[in-house]
Amino acid sequence: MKASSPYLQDFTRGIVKENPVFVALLGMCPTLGVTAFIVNGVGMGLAAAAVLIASNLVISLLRNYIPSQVRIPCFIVIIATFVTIIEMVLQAFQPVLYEALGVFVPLIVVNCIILGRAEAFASKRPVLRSLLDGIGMGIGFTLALLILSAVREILGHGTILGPDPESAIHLFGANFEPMALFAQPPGAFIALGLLLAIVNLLFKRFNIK
Amino acid sequence: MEKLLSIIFIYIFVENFVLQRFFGICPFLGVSRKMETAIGMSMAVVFVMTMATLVTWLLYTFVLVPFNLTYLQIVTFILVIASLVQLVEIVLRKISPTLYQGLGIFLPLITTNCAVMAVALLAVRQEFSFLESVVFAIAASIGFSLALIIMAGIRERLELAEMPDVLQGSAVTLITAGILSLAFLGFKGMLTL
Amino acid sequence: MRNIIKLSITLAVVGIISAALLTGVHNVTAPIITERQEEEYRQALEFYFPEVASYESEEIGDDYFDIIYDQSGDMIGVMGTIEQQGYDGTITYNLAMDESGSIVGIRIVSHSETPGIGDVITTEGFQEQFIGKSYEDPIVAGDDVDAVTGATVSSSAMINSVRRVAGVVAENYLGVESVEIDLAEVPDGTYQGSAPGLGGELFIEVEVSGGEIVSIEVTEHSETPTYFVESYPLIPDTIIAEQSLDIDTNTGATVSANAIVEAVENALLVALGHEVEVEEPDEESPVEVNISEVPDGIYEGSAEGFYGPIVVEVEVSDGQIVNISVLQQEETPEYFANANPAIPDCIIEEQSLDVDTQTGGTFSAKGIVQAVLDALTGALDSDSGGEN
Repeated sequence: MKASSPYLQDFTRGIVKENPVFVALLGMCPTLGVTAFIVNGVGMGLAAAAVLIASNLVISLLRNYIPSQVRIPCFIVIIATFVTIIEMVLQAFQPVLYEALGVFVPLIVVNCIILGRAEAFASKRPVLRSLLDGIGMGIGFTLALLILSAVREILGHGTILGPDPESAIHLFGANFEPMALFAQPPGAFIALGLLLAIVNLLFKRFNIK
Repeated sequence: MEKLLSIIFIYIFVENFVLQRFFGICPFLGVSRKMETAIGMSMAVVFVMTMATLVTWLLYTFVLVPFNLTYLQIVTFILVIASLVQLVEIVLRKISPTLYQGLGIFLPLITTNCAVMAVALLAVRQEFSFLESVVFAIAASIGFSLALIIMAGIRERLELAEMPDVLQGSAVTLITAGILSLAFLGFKGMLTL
Repeated sequence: MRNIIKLSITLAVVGIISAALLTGVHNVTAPIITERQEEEYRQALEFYFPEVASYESEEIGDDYFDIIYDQSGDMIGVMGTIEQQGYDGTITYNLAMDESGSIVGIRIVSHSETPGIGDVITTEGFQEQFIGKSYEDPIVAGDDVDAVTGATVSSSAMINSVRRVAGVVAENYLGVESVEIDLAEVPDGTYQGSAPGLGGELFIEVEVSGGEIVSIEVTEHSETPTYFVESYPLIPDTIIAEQSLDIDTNTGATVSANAIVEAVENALLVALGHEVEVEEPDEESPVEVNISEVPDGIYEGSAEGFYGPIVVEVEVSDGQIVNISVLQQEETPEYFANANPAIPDCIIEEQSLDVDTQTGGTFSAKGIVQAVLDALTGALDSDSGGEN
């Protein structure tokens, strides 16, 4: 890429080159835990992205006022606050998604991506760059969850946009017997493992480093 | 008594935290390369998980619920866990430097181990009593350790195996975890609470 | 020192701002959350009972029930919210019944059954079979509803739970138990009644004279003998002594005791002209055939075993069964070995089909007996028809 601006780099970095899931292997618990359906996977991705963007923004704003000795507890409180807000908002406006994600909503607070970006990036960079970084990483995380949940839902249930029968689209007709394995825990590990192998292959082929 | 024994069995095998519930995957993938570190991590997790659940349960039942502050649950729980990890680190360094040398490096990692937070949250959500919560935490952490140690044993051998380049590292580890998870799926339905 | 104060203040400020912010958001969202939950609940009620005007909630045991009223204040139905242990965790579901006691709807609220297996309970096909059933129906797997093969635990749990809840609703809200038995109105006579016990249907005969129960006899039962002695003759004696069916059945064999009480109740209800489903004793076809009348020859007969047809060949000579051989069967080898050749030997030895089939392979054993019976009756039929 020719002399691309640091802003563009901050934005694109998280989507492919430093994808939090496929490359950095962070935030694995929700990645595996809620991806049985696309709706849940993308919902979790967006919720985590919202927390990430907000916390990146606030931490970057406050970076000159927080003494470095207590920065980690402060970051944790800030992140936990946003997670709680997201939890309440989901419960109020997206109750079905809230129920489906279950305990993984409060667990966004221990998602290593968020604390990792806060510590490694937002606490040292100006606001705009931190914001772009947050958005990029958020998109990267959501994208990874979308891909994994699409694989798992199509193979494991034969649908997209399930589990709600009203929106679910059956892709293969009545004679299709879903591979239930992919809907269950072992399938999550295996599907992600295979996706990682494919990502490794593509990175190698296109020389992305 | 029956319920306590059920909790122990369920959370070690049936609902294994790592292989069936996906809690604590990061350390599971991160420190399962060597048996030695896996055992060190396991011990640290058992200790912190039990302590954290004990404290958060008391805090939730006797402070958050009576004052109608349950919406501060996430903030208080994560602070308790973070400070507990700090405290354990300081105390351990003072009392037993040898143990500290063994566990010390794992302690900071535990703050972001979602299994610890999950156990504290689930104990409250499932309305366990105090004793049940403690037993639950111990069982869950033993389940975590079991998965971690089995995985470390497998990976030590896997190092020597030949495989395609693209599978090396995390990819093959995840697929192995999937097969392990498949084995634990056999416990499914054996016991419910 | 100043540094520590500064650190503490920073932490405190961050904490206070966070708590204040959360309190604010909580105050905004909390009423929305409650409202939405109520709204959803109401929608569920309206789905089954469109004319719902008001409802009132009640807790019976571990179950919640909403009694639903229409505009004019008449009860139009009951919706239960039930928690049931499934294969893997709790299944929460709504069961809606109208005022006549028919099931109008089932909705799984939440469950954690295995995807692709146990989650069959959420399918329309499974739920549909309950619609229209009432508390008077048996609601028994394999009888009027089907358990799902491969997901037996999940589906049986639902079937048993629906049956139990239908009974609870009928008893508490539909006034089913209100059929009072006034002994004085029962005409003198002897009445038969039955009710399911632990081992199978239990039959009694009750004699009423002058408005009083004078004797109760258990005519047939399949209870475990060692337990049955706990409630017989204790329970009949207590009923006669108290002249009431409202007695303590808490014996060492509560199921048998309850069955006796229920059977007596059924008998008296029939006596009073109420409609009660009464089972006929001895539902199995009588195993009787006069072997001496069977002409000599070799006959083939078949009957259903556990997995498929069992075909036997029976050789009769001088009015005696001299040989029985099984030609075809698809039974589980281990079990079938318990029934063959033991059962044929037994039949030949006793020259009777009334043999004990309680082997380690009861279904196969019964199948063999039925097949032999089939062969012999076939022989007699064709004989009388003059074809043989």
